[in-house]
Amino acid sequence: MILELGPRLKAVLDHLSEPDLARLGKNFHLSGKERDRDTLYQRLTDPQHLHDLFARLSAQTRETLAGWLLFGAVVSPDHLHLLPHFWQAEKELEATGLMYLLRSGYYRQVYAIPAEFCAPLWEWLDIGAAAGELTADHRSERTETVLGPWFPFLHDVFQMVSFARTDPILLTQQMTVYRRIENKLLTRLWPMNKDAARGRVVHCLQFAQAQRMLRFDHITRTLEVDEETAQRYWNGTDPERFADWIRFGCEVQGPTAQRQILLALASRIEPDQWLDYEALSRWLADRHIAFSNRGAERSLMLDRLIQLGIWEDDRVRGRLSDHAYAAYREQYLATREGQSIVEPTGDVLVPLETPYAQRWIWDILTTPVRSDRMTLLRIEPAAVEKALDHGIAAADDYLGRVKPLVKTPLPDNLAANVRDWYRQLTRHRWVEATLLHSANESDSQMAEASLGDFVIGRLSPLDLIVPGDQVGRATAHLRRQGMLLRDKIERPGEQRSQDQEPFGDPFDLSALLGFTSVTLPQAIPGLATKSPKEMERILMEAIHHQRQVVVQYYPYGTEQPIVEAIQPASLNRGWVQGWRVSNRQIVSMSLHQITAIGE
Amino acid sequence: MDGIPEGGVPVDPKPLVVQSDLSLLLEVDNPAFDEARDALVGFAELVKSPEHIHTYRLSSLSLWNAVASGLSAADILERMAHYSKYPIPPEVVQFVEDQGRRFGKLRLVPAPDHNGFWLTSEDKPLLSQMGRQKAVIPFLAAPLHPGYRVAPEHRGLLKQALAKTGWPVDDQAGYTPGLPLALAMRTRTPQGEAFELREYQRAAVQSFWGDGRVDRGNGVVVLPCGAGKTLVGIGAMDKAQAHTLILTTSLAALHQWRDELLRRTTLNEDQIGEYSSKAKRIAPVTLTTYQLLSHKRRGVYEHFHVLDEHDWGLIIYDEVHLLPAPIFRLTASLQARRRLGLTATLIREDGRADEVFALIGPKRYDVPWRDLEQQGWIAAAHCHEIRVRLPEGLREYYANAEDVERVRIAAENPAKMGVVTELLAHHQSDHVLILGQYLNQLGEIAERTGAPLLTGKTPVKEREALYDRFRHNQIPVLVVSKVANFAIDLPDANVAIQVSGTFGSRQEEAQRLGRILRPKSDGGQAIFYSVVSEDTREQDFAQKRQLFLCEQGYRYDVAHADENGRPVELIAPVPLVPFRQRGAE
Repeated sequence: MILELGPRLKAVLDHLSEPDLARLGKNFHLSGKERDRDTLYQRLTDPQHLHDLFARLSAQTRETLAGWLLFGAVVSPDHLHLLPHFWQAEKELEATGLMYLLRSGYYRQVYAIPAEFCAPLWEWLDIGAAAGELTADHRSERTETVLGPWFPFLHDVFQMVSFARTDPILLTQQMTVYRRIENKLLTRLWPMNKDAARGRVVHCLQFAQAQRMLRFDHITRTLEVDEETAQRYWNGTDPERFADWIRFGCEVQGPTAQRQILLALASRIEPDQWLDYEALSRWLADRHIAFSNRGAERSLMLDRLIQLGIWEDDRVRGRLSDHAYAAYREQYLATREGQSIVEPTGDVLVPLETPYAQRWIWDILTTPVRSDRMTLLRIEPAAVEKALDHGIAAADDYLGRVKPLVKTPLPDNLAANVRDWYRQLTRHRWVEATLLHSANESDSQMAEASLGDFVIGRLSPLDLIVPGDQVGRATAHLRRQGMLLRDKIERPGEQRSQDQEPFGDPFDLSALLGFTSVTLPQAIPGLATKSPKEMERILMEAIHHQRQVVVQYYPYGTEQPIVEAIQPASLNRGWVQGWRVSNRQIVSMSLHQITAIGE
Repeated sequence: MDGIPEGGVPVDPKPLVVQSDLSLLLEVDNPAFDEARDALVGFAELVKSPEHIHTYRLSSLSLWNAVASGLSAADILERMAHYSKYPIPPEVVQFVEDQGRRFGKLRLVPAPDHNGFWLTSEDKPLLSQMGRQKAVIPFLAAPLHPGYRVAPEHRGLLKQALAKTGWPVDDQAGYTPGLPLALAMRTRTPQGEAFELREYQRAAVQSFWGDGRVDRGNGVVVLPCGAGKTLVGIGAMDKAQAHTLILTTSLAALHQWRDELLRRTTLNEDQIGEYSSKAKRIAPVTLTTYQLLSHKRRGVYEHFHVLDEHDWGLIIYDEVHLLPAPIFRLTASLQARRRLGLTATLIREDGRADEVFALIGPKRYDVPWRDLEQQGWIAAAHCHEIRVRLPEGLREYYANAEDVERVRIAAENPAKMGVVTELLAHHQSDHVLILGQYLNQLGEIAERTGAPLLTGKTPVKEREALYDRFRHNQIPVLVVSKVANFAIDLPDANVAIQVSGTFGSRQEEAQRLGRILRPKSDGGQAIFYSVVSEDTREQDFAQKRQLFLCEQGYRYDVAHADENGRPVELIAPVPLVPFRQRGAE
């Protein structure tokens, strides 16, 4: 039974005063230790307890409760006179935990029955039985008597979220979907007339946001999928999602409680029957509940339910749609996993009864072709691209994910194609990176050491790779260390900003040789020129055993090498730091600066 | 929630899913598959029949044909509902009811004064609506109350135009019976072999002919290569018992038809005429080619007019998917004669398949290839695609070439030679056809393998002699260009190696497989290899080419080979990020 009236019991207990909590606990014979809110919640909602409690209620109290529920389970003191025998009922119910007085500020208060008790009470008091007397003479057969998971509204929500998963939905300044994107979204909806379809897109996006599957990114102004929440939502049960649908239909704008009551009444009539608005209006008026069968009021009450496919209406009468009726009657189609079929052509046929959790997986493995009772998807190169975008990096991973979804094994030719597409698509890739280009190797090494974690790789002896979005911070970082550089990013094809001599210097050695100075090598006894790897090994050992080493190196900004004994302390990314043995000052050099080393 | 049946309401185990786009999906593995398929064929067209789910489609034409044959909209809906797993979408119900109402509102009958035909209806507003349709007006003569007179030469065009407006006409004007010709099918061939039509051939003839009334007698029969389409044509001739004109694709095919008519019917050589570039004799059964019929001289289709003057009772279009564009127009004026189209693949790469339906008639019979394979009427076939690397040097050449050149470089990949050699070594005791598009490539293969080469330049006599020697096992391997794609009967060929083809032509791929589908005397299987260059446009084309056969239920095994034809295993690399992790050593 889907009947969402009144406040949630958990919230009510959270705000209950300690003395009242103790009073309730005493009624349940709970010891002091046990009188916590969770235990009370369990006791209060226990079906057997509710059954016993209802059975003990007097006929007058039952009558009061029935009227109270029709008021939406919440009633203000101004309206208490409309509920017969209220004060007597209050005495009977005061310590049962079935009713509460909720206060807001010093002047506003309401009497409320928590939501958890409304559906059982509704059933126990058999309020819906009255619906049988409110039907129209007209009868018409229903087309669908069972609710499959893939019914239009939820199907449309799934499609919107699926769309945003690949292309986040860009919104205008007025927070509406751009027309160009909206047109694309419209093609993903279950067939319906065009006017209704635009409204459906909005409803579905609202619903997906309400379930936290879509979130708004204020910087990019896009609706993006929260993968984790979406995954959790689609992994949930069908009845939970159907209840969300009904709640979403009732809770926005206008008389929420009346909508819930209307739907609950309509769920009790025969499948081919309709509720007569005139009779319904009279019946509710007798119970002091407004339901106008005319104009804007009726529109306020029913339009949203109609738009969401919950209600069908023909002016003088109305009833639950086929899908909503089946949901209320708990006529759910059994979902079945692993029933999809993959043809050698790459076509994937996904039947109606496939659970959403599996559709959510298919969504990143295939491209959509047509959505219908049997949904047609396709495995093709574009689908493999999509899978790669979602982190499925290997063909075997892809094929492994397909396996539990299908009824028959994946055709060999298709598996071979998937492997080939993976091979082709991963052979070349576009990678966006920003390079820090230095004038020489030494500068580049220095920059690398200074930038630390800003560097994600080295492309060449002169080029470091840094993330494009970190250029500003990296520049500031270098400036703080005394390395001045501009933060303007040059792009291929742009003229270099560096001023150059129009004809060049005929004696510029750097142009001739690629170096800025020339020195004679100096062989130092006891030192040997070694490969960087060997030097690295010697330094690491020295660090490990806290030994000194003698190095010949070019200090920064000099053209003559010097020889010094140093005590190395760390070697990180080709950069040695330590102490000069002669004066205990910190010394720092790149492996590239060292020309010889001795232990 | 309490009270939910455990696991929910189980799905109805019926085999059919009716989609809102008018397609009907039928599950092959369902026990009620055969029964449901038989129920559907009366009002839906088979679109594709891959391994697991066959797709049928409801169309205006299929529903009009169903209504013409006596089914009502209610019958159709009931049949669908009976086999449907889910409720039928309301839009489908509406479409069937709407189309069911439309057929028969307009009738075409002989004019009361016997001067041409009369388009009439009891629905007068509909008649005046048609009288205002731009597409229809050119084919209506003076008003003839209630309705319009129609000139005989406009009969086909008017029917086509009315169908396009969504109001099909019930053509009750009948056919010209044609000059009578007594013929019978033999029960034993002159060589002493017992002969009778197979069940599906009889069914195809029956679908075409019906009870001989005007609601049938035109249309297309689709059967796989090797399933005996010629015999369906002969069956139709047996029903018509009238002078017959048979249009074929080539002289070789024309001669094969002649030989079959002599083997299977009581007709003698005098009764069969050849109207070709070699001979121009019109006889009670006359064989000609599309090429000759569409030949124009001084702006006139002279051969067409010569043949059109004869009073034919039946015209047979062999390989109707190849019907050249001029013949479309000429065929429109042949609406008074019974017309039978025969084909294996009603796919036209020019997208004019609909015109074939409109002018020759609707598809009357179609059967999935794999069904006939299972019944043993065509050979069981295994398809393989072998992807061969381009040699290193050629790869660079390919990368730098223009688009058009690339297609050819990939098709003529010399590394394919290694694969062909390996395959021939593997199939030494088989009858192998090597099929290709490019003569240089085929010439080289012929030279390297020592097999004879047959192309469009090979004289007809030499061609027939080569076919004959191949049939008689005197040559085990034959290298052929696209001239051998159609209508050539080479019963013992059991292996085909396709080394190149026409871009992504699905129809060509199917026809080429068809060359080896004729059932083998030893019950052996047919093996089809398609050799393509890996990581080139040719590989993309290959996937498109295979689509028709996959839709007929065939699978392709894929293998890779190096430039010497040796198998190789390819493993996809998987590094995603080329950089070291930030912060890592």
